[in-house]
Amino acid sequence: MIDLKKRQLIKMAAALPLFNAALVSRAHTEKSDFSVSEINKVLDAWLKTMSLTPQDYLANRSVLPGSADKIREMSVEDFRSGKTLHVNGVVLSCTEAALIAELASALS
Amino acid sequence: MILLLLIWVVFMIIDGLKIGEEVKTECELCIVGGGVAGIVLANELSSAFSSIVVIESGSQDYNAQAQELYEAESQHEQIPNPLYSRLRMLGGSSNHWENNTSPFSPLDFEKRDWIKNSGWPLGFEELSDYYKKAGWYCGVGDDGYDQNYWSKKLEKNDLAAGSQVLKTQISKYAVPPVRFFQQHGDVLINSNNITVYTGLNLVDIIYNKNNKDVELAKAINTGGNELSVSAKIFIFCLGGIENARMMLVFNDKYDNQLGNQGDSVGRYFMEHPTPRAAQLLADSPERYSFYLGEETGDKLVAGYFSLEESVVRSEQTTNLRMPLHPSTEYMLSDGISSYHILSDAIAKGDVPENFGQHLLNLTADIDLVAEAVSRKKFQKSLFDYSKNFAGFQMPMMMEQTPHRDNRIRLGSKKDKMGISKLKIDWELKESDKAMVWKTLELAANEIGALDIGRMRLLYERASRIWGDQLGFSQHHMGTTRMAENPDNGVVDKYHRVFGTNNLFMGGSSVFSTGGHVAPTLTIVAMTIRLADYIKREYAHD
Ligand SMILES: Cc1cc2nc3c(=O)[nH]c(=O)nc-3n(C[C@H](O)[C@H](O)[C@H](O)COP(=O)(O)OP(=O)(O)OC[C@H]3O[C@@H](n4cnc5c(N)ncnc54)[C@H](O)[C@@H]3O)c2cc1C
Repeated sequence: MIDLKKRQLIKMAAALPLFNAALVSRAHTEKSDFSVSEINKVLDAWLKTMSLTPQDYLANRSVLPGSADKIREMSVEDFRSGKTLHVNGVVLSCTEAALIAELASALS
Repeated sequence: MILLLLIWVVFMIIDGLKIGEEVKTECELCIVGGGVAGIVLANELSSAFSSIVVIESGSQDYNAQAQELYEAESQHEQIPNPLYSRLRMLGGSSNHWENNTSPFSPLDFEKRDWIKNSGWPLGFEELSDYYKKAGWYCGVGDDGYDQNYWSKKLEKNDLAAGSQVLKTQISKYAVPPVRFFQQHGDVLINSNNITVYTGLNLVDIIYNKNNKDVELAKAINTGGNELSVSAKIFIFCLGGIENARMMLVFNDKYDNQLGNQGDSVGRYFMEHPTPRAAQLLADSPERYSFYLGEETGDKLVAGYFSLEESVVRSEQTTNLRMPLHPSTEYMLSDGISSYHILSDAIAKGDVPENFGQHLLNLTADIDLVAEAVSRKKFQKSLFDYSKNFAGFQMPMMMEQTPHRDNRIRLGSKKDKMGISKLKIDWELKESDKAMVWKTLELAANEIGALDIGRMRLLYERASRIWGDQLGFSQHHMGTTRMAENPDNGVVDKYHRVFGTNNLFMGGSSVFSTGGHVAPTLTIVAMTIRLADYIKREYAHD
């Protein structure tokens, strides 16, 4: 059974345009394992390049579970100030990358 | 016996393949080259001069013998041979252009400290008024390129509205494309003061070193018969490469006094390479309809992204034309690209950079690699989802810094007219590539901030992006560049060749920098401006 933390993370992740855009649409194809491997790539990239854990990053930015607007706001701020993470070339805001990385560790 | 024939004014197109051995004629204005620039000049000047002669190498139809004269002796392996990228006939390369038009922007004309050899002796404001009429010649109307106007008129969302970093710009294409001779050739055929000679190739000029006048132009046909034209004014409109080629020939004869005082003829050659260096990941294409193009009347209007000029300036980078082409899973697949990189490397006995990453891509996308192999080998698609929408490719158009060592030179072989074939030295400098990546990063951050998708920068495909996958726009620019003085250019701000009183050049060979949009609208605007100048300076009341 899926626990509360995972549930919250998935809810937050659903607010991410990246999920709506690239991953979810691809996950609807027959390549259903695709999104999982993409999510793991984000975690790998995060661990390789960032000093804070994804959880700490989100906590520092006061991104709370369920706050879709806040995620978007932080994400825009990240992009505008160049706080981005490149995952296999895809340019993500650190906020969304942290969220996805969190999700990846929760799912693993 | 040499047949000496004096032709004064003949009101028609004369087939130069059939002229006598030595034909002489006189006129006020001689235009050489009946392509886009030559035809616009003839239209603009027809009422200002009592006699105009136009000399064109090709004829009204494609002719293989004329076309062969474009063949280069050698060219950089990535640059297409002009034999295939130009058309030698009335209307020139407008006979196969795509009619993509956008104006240059003010920054293009400025000296930019971070772009070596940038800066025109001409400001955007001196050209802007001519763009409207240029739009008419190019078949795209005079309704301009303002994105707010078009977004309202087409009821489309400008996704970059309100951004300080990114903007939407407009391309207009005539549908079907304008073939300049078909569309604007009536003046050449019907004006009783214009004589057009086809099938004749400019091969020589007589230049008077004392009074700095070009007195005569000589053109020959494939049989060696010659037409000599004496005129008050000569304007060469032979295209972005041939203008330089012929000027190199003439400078050999006249000790570099024809615009080559600073050894600039043929140098600063620029193209518009089209690297496919990024993708835009998005959920569905509908939201982007402004960028996918809409037909309205007899033209197609499409938006594309560029950086705001203030950002180009503050970041000291170069601008890019970033259009969006909807793409499928198959087209965006990493695995397929990595498969090509790995197979190329293996064939050469090399290990490519990022070997591990390519191997991973290949494994992750193995189904799409299989799809590619199946499509190629068996013309059969295996997986339906390979056709699903996955995002957009961005076949961007980049500006190339004008470098002296990118150049057209004369080779050792001659064409059938006895003119040296050309060699094209060309290289895309690392500094230009670095600016492309920088601009893409700025665009990627802004696209994220605007929440209109996520960009993917294809760093790991760099070897192919800048290698076998690099496309070209077939835009040839800079080889007889405009400059303040002969130390660093060939023509002045009115297109007059330095060191001469009466020789002018038309076309994109005079561009000092190439901008990041297609050149022909600007060629036409500059040609109309040149015609105005010629009228002011030389025409009768
Ligand atoms: C496939 C393709 C697609 C293109 N698409 C676009 C586009 O979408 N948008 C855009 O802006 N531009 C486009 N271009 C570029 C565009 O075609 C050129 O910018 C334009 O044609 C240049 O005009 P021009 O008059 O300077 O030269 P040309 O059109 O090349 O005309 C030169 C003329 O000079 C004649 N000539 C050459 N040598 C001699 C000689 N020795 N004696 C006598 N006559 C001679 C030639 O026969 C020719 O008629 C495209 C080009 C190609 C090849």
